[in-house]
Amino acid sequence: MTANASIAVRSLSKWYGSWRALRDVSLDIDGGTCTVLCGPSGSGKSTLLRCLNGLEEWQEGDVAIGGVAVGYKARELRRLRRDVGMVFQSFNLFPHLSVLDNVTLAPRIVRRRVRRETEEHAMQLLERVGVAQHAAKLPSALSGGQQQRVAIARALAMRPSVLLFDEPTSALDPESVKEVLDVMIDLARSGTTMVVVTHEMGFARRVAGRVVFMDKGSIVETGEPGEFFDCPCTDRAKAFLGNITRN
Amino acid sequence: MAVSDQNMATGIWSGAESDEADAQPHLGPRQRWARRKAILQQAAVLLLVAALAVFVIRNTVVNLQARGLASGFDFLWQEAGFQMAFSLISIDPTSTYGRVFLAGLLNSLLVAALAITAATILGFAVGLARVSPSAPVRYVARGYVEIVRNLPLLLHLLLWQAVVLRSLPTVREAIGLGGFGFLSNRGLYLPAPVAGDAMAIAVAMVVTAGIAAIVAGWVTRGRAQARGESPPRFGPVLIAGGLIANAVAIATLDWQIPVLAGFDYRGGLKLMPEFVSLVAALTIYNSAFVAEIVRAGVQSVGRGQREAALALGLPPKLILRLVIVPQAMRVIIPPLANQYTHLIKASALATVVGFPDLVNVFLGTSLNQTGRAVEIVVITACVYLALSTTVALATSAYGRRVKLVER
Amino acid sequence: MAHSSVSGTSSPLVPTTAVRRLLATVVANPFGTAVCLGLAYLAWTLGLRIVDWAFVNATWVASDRAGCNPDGACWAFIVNRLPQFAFGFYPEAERWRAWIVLIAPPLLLLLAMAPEFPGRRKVLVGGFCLYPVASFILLSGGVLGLAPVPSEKWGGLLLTMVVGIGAFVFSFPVAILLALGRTSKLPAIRLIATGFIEFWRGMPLIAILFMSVIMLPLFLPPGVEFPRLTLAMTGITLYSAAYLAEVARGGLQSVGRGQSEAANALGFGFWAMQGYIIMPQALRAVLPGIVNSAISLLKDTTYVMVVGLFDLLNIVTAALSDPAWLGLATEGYVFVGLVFWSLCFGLSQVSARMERDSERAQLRAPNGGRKAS
Repeated sequence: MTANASIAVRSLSKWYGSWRALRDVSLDIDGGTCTVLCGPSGSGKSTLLRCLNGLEEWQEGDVAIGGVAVGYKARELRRLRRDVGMVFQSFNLFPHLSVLDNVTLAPRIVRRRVRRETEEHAMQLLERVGVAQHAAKLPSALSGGQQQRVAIARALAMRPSVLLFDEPTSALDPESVKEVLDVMIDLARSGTTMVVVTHEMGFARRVAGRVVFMDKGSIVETGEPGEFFDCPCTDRAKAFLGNITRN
Repeated sequence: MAVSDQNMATGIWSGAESDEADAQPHLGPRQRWARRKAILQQAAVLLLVAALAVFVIRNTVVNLQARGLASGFDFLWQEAGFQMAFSLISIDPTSTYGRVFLAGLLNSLLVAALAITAATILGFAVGLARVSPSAPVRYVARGYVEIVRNLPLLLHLLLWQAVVLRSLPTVREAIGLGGFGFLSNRGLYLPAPVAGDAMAIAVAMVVTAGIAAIVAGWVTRGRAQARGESPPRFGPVLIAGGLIANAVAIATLDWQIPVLAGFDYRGGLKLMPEFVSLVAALTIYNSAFVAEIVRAGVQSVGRGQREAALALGLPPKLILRLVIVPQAMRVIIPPLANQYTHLIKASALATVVGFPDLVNVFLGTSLNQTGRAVEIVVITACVYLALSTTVALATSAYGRRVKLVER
Repeated sequence: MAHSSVSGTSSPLVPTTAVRRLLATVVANPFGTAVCLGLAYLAWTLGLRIVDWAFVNATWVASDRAGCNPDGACWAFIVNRLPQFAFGFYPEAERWRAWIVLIAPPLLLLLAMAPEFPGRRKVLVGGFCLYPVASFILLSGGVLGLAPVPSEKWGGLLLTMVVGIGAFVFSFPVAILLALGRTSKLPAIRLIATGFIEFWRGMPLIAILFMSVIMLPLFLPPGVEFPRLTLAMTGITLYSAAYLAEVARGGLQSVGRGQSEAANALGFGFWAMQGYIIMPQALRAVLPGIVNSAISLLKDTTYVMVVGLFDLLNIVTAALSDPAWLGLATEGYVFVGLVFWSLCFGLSQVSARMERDSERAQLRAPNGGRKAS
């Protein structure tokens, strides 16, 4: 798999029981671009994102990352997930490990790198996201924004070719949101393939190459952020943007 | 969640409108693979367990044949040929192993029932003392708990057996208990009713019905209180009726008081020293654990409850009885039931002091005499599993009831 | 404090000293005070008699019962028999091996209390995991030029330690597998694990010990034989594993789903995820419960008496029938009681401290208090 891989989704459908969460979704994402998925809650945007690294299993369709199909055997999935970083809404840092160990654990265990090498790399990453001085602390001693930045560093430590963000700022207080968005903007500008589920329209406007609007399990509209925000084509997108700006 | 509910609704709605496939979830290749993998994994584990079982059963059959041991459950109808030092049903050398099993089981149940009752009463007393407003009382209770629960149960038992009971006087100098009972190093002598089997059964039925009536009356009252309704009228009637029935039944019996004759007391009920020390050790040991459960339960009731009751002007004693304990019971009951299971199992220690409980007469003597190891172990295991399952089921039934009342 | 909120009278007289607080209690609760005074009187008279018996009139050195003061404790019995109570019938020339086995656990515990140093956890975990195997090899001998000593000769506190720590350590991996099985998504595996756990939890330990001595030899291929100690330890290990599995299951349930998702997303496999991420958190969450299981197990080791093993309690009980030292049950059992009490009470204090620490950590976590490590 190359660095900054492209993503291809072909007619993806998913049911939870008898409820259809994704209906025939197709999407192509170029390598090195930042794509923002948005839409009302329950529109399937998080589900789609979680399908990209096989955290959700689906019934129909295919997903390929960097030209490699996302398989369903445990070993194939594990190999894929090494190269697909993910950042969660609730951080999901490992509370029993120090910040540094949080970042180095996966490279050491999953990629079998030696400790010294991973620690050097981890310190560079922590420096980059601005929490290097907290490396020895436990995650519970950090603020939400700091924790989320550590989570980003943890994902980066695996040197992924794609980064997935699942509402990374929804659980944060307004001050922390900016810290995290700054890091994400920096990443997007450095040319990493990113797929971001977020309600932060300012972020989308500034760095997204493309905005994908979803509703009721399908992609309703895609476009450049400029076009999308200024003159959305569909009524549903208009209604959604209206709601967001009113709040 | 509200959001997903709403989407559920829209999903179903649009499914009915647009495409058929919506309402019909089906398996994709991923689900088929996952299902196949699950079946394979389970089959592998089951195969492994089956292989182990075959290995064990084959070895057992070979070993039993090599030792010339018979098998089968027919021994239950054979004559056991031994005496039991204590039994609730009459046992003589011509009794069958089945009857011996029953007698042992009844003895185990008797020990467990007595110890559970006593440990609960003592444990609640100590547990409430653990949260007493008076600091010295708290310290004394804490000391009791810490000393008792950090010693092995078997040591408690041997201490009672060797030290306390040995220091009791001989039969001739037995301590009188109000003229009705006597305590000596040969055991505890209590008055017992003299009656034929039929009479005893009739009385036992009346007493049981009486107790059931009292419990039913009490429970309906409690339920009504929990719901905030006034208790139904028949509650007190049930309680009073039960009490009167019991009193009459017990009074009609002809009580025989033990009398000293020669070297031993005659008549009445003689409880062997092993029985007394077993019940005492089980009671004391478990009371410490019950006390800790009670303390945790009382402390689980929020401070606000106590303060609210104080603000209403309730006197402290009533606060404990009316506000704290009823709420604490929800926290107390599950671990308490757990402790009862422990106690029932621990009553098997009777074997060590030679009291004829189930494990002693069945897993011990009967197994030695018949050699039916597999059968006897299976029966014993079933009995104990049935007992612990009963307690577990009763607890979960209580849990469900409490949940309902809470709503 | 609790008493002031119930009695409700202490607000005007703010208790600053112990005496004042005591006085406030007395005023608030005359009944409790009367009970206390009664108990205090009882404790005083009883205490005096106990001190007289245990110390003032006690005899520490004597060659038999006749040499002891009949009014006091005859500790000479314990003193004379101490080596036997500690090691059983372990041959005198080989006692140094028994010494090592007996001294190692307290040394490891001291290490656990000692301040942090690099690799401490590794030494501790490794030490406790190796202990049963190493002590088994050291005690039985037959290798490395050590004279073989059959396990029938092991006894006393030595046996209590070997059985207790051995069964605990061996039961750990079994318990973890059982807990994972019981929380598995696969119904067959869940059923097997649940059945296994409930079977061992439902049986009395006494019955399990009988069973393991009677049944296990029947299960084994003809010709394969194990000493009683091994059979009994197998039974105790499985019994303890079932209880420990339930404790571990509680821990597993306390670990959020996000943890396994994060591990999955990073490419961890099932066992690596359990080993590095889920289990460390789960077991840490229930550490007090684990220590409590260890305390129960330590007390339960005394049950090996019923299958004829001479642990500390049984060897003392056996010594009570020595004609030279008849009638000293009180002294013997007080000694055993002191040993067990100090071990169990010590462990329970460790568990209580852990519980307090974890509560404090939980209070601190949400508002981001500092914790240096």
